[in-house]
Amino acid sequence: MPKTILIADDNEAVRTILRLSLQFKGYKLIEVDDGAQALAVLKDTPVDLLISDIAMPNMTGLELLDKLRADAGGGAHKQLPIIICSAESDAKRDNIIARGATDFVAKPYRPLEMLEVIAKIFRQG
Amino acid sequence: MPKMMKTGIEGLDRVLCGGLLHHNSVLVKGAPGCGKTTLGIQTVYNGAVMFDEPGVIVLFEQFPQQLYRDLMSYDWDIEKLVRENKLRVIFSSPDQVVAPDKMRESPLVSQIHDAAMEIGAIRILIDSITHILNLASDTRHAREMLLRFINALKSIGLTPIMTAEAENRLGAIGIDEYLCDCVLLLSSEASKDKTFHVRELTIRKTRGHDHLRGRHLFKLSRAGIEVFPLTQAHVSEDIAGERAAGKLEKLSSGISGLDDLLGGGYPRGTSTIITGMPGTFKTTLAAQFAVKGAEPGDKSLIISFTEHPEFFAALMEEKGLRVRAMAREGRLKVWHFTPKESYIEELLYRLEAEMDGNGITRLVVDGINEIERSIEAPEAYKDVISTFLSACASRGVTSLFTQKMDQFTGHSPLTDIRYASMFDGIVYLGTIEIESSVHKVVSVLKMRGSNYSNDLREIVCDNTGIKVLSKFIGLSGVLSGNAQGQYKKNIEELFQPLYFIRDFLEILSTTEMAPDERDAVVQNLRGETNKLVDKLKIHFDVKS
Repeated sequence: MPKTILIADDNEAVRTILRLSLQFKGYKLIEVDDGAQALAVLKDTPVDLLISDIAMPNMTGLELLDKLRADAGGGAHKQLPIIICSAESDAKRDNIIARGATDFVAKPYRPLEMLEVIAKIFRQG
Repeated sequence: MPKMMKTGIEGLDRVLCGGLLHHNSVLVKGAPGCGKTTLGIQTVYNGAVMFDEPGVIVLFEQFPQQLYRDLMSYDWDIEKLVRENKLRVIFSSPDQVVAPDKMRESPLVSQIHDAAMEIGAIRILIDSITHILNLASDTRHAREMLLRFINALKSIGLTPIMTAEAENRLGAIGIDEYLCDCVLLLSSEASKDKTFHVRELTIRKTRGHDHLRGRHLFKLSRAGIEVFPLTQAHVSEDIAGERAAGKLEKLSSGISGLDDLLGGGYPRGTSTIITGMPGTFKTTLAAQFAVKGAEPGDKSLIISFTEHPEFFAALMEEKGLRVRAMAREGRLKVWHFTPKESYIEELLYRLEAEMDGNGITRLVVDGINEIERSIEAPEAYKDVISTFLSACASRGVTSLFTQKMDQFTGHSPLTDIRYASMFDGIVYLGTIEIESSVHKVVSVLKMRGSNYSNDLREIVCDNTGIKVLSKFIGLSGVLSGNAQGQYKKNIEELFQPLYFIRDFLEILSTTEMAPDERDAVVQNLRGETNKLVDKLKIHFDVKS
């Protein structure tokens, strides 16, 4: 059974690169534009991993992270692996992990680096 | 037109369209402490000193010592006028107004008559008729008593100026207001933002002459009352015509590169807003127009809401702007004005006088955010700015206004420039970050009546002032207000595909794959490479 990964990023070019990279490894993908849409998908779709950008319209990646780690969906997503990505120079890896993210990847990232992080999470999970 | 009786309070005479009318009864009404007595005494005093019209002051229930003590806070020498027979002060009590029987005059009227005859008085202040009205048994009686008193004064040849108490300006209209020919209402209210009370004057009526409508602010100082009439200037037809024909003379900004962007300079008589984040040289850019741009015949005025003139001069001298020397030559003035401590209307009043009296050609108003902050009703902001703009436009004065943008909104500057459409021109100053260093940029967003350029140019500022450098190529998004964000987005869009191509070429060369899988990867690589080429072409404006 292939793992399902939810991608939240408002930049179409970034999503395309992720899509091509992840599909190559056989993952199943769902793509959304922002945090609010991601929350809607998570409500009724089982997902194994979330990859989210920070700066997005409507709901940022950090707001999404907070909601999931609090009790959105009755606490069902407290354990969901979440990778936060950002191009912001003030996004600090340690702070974001302390806030509840499973891992942090700075943008722009190499696809191989991202695949490595994903594989590591799934090995541990 | 009958000859007007000037109050000698310049702003008030403007509001009264020339002054009071001889023999009209004048009522000055307001709550305690709002300046009624001051206005009355000043009018009588000015009559004696400025217009050779001696006067009488009648005070009820006040002692002479008290009056002279109270008047010590003003620059008026009442006792000297009394000695020179130009003024008589009568201390009386309200019951003296009532005549003992219908056949005789009231004792007070007789006393006034004698005093007036003795010095040839023209003006008289009665402070206050509230005392008289309080004696009346009912409204009809009060009306009769007051009317008889006013007529008695008029028949002596006096022009009565009477004060009356009012709970507040908006209270019911008393009989005194019906009986008098001219009614001035004064009010004084605590303001939440000012350090003093806001005083307003409104004219209810002026029989026989016109007046300016609306609320006019006034203040009390050692010189007495000073009124700042609410005015609305109109653009002169000459300038409006020239503007319509688009042939306005251009005034140099004092920065050659900026003149190029502006299409030659700022068109004469236009108003431009200089907007940008803190630290983007807004003030220097505007001051350079007043200092370096000035031609020999020009006279410049800089109004700073934040800096004291000496400090402002020192700051600008560091940028190579000869503020002090120009000020000495009489070609430049710097005013410091604190909106919190005074009325914007006062500033406008003084500004118009300065423009008319000293022929100001270039005006810089630095930091108009301060105006907005000092106005209680936000809707009044537009009126204030509009009065500024029309005062300049009607006199052909070319003006620049600087405005600070909020550093943290990150919104388009165009939505941040309040009432942008009111200004003829908009000059935007911003910053962009390139490879970890911050560059300052300038762009002309709008300039009516000019063929301006849309270019984005880098600016630098050193001890010789601001210089505009060459055009930036290939960096869009500065005007998003979040240049850094746009820059990062560009990097993402260009580097992600590049990293993808590099990594998958690596995978292709090191990984065993089924032929169809390999074909799919190659096809993806080809697609992403082509897309990247297209993006780079757009980004760097490459045509082929």
